[in-house]
Amino acid sequence: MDVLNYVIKRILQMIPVFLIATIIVFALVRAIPGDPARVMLGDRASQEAVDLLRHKMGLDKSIPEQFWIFFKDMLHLDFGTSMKYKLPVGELLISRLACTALLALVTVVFTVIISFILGYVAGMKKGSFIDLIIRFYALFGLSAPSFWIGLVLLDFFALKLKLFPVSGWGETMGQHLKAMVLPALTSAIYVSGILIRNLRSNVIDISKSDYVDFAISKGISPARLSIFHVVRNALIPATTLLSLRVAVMLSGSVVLETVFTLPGLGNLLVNSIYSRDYPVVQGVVMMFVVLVMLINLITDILYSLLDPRVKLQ
Amino acid sequence: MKDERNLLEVEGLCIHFETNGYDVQAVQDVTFSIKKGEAMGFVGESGCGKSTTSRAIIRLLAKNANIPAGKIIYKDQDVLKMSQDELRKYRGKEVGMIFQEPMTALNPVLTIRTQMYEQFRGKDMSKEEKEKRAIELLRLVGIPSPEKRLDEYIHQFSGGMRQRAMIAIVLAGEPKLLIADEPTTALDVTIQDQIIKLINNLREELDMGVLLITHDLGVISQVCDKVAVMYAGFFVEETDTLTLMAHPMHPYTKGLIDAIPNGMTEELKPIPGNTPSLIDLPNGCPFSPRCFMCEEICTKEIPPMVEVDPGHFSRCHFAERMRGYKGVIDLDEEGKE
Repeated sequence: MDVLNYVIKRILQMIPVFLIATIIVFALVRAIPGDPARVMLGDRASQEAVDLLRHKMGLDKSIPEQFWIFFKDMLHLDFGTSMKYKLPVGELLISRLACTALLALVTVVFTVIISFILGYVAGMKKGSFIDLIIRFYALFGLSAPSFWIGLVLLDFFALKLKLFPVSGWGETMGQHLKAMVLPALTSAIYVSGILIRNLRSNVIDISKSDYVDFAISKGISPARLSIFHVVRNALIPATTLLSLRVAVMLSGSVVLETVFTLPGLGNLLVNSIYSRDYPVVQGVVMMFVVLVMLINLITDILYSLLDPRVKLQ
Repeated sequence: MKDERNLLEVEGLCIHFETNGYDVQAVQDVTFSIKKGEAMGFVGESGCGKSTTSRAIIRLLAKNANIPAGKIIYKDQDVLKMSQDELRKYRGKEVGMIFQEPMTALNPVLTIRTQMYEQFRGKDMSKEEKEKRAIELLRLVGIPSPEKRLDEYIHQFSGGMRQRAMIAIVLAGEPKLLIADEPTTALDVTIQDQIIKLINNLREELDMGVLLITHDLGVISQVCDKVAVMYAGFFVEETDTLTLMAHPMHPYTKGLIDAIPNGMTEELKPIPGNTPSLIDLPNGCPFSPRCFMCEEICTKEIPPMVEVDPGHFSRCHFAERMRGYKGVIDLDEEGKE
């Protein structure tokens, strides 16, 4: 019941944040220099043609009027029609989000597997050769540019071994998942670099803690010690770190989407900004706003579940 | 009839730590034994090696520790030669350890129940039996409404209750020897007293051997049958508690006893100087720089542990000079038996 009350409270708190975000997004999009109608028709189009298009797109109305239309439609979950793709923005967003969200999900799975194993081993074997190698890997993952890692993986696994598709993300769920392996791995190599360093230092601190000594003094098995005492506690800070990365992942990555030719949100946003596709830019950014707020909420709930000392209020 | 066999025998134990290229001699030539139902105390200032000795008994020393000499024998088993498997059966079930600070010694994210049940692993107990036993133990250590507290976390307990909860968890393993490392230091005085009484009662009820580590002679005198005074890694005096309090035979023990506030004398008499660094011990007797009766030989030779009276050992060249010094209690008036 506590959790439900908390969720309701947090969702109510999101409303003003959402309203303010709406105004800022609307204003920022219009602050980008350049006229969408002119961008679309090109330099040589006549002024009449441009004016006609402006009228069609509703850009000749006053700014408050435009905002009201945008806001009213949004409450009906209608984000307008893309000027460039001639598709309803909502439809466009959902198809692109599916790709980006699947990529984020697979990335999280890879990241968790890689980071927890390597972070734990490095922490427990602090100062050993294997620790050195894992630390090198973490530093490498953090500093190597992802387009390069992506291209190397693509060259080896897709072109040479032909295990994965070179571009696109297919039609069926199976094909989608297969197409996600390499981009997710590319992304996971970077994110696990961050997470391994965090986990390693946490594992080192925890293994020196009194409660680990006390657990050992009870004669519990090494497996139980590592899972219930060491990893269980190292999980708490790592979760916060990972959830921050999830928010970033969900906003799409232009680099990954370009290297692996994926229809994700990153490219959609960038292209829409170039073509002054106001409805799409507004729609994408508003979706980010909602996603970030939701992820923060989920993180806070997760955190309180992981750490009983943290109370939801 | 009391079981006269020794539960634990420690012989000539030396523990060294390697830190930054230094060889720190934390414990040197420590010998003692504990019988079933007997309580022994270690007393000394911080860093004198009392915790290190107790941790060695349960093989909980840091990785940079090594034991160049000595034996730890528990019921005919050589603890220092135990395999990981043997250690797992020994720790918790044969020897249990109460830590100083329950807030950090209990896992913050696991309930008391989970941490208690860890002690029941490997035992053939049903869920109901485990729960019943856990509640019984919490009740035994004096935690009110144990059914409810079982599913709480350590941060939800108050100071004294935390220590009780930890004691209950340790007892769940049914140890034959209970090591208590400064169990009352983190508590305020009234609660200290309750915990001391609890340890005393449990010892009688469960007939456990107890090794109590403290810097407080008062606590020792309430719990222990015999006591060893430690200084800079050495046992400097060892005897039964009453004799130690009445007739200390080592100048350091005398210093400790004089430093007890007794309400009669106006001011405390601290021992002058500081404990020596274990990296750079003084030549000869480690206590010599602070000793009021130090002579030339003291700065040259480490005194041997000598039996000055039957069962009363002192590591002092001039222990005999201490004869006639009165401690805090007068045995002749009270009568020794």
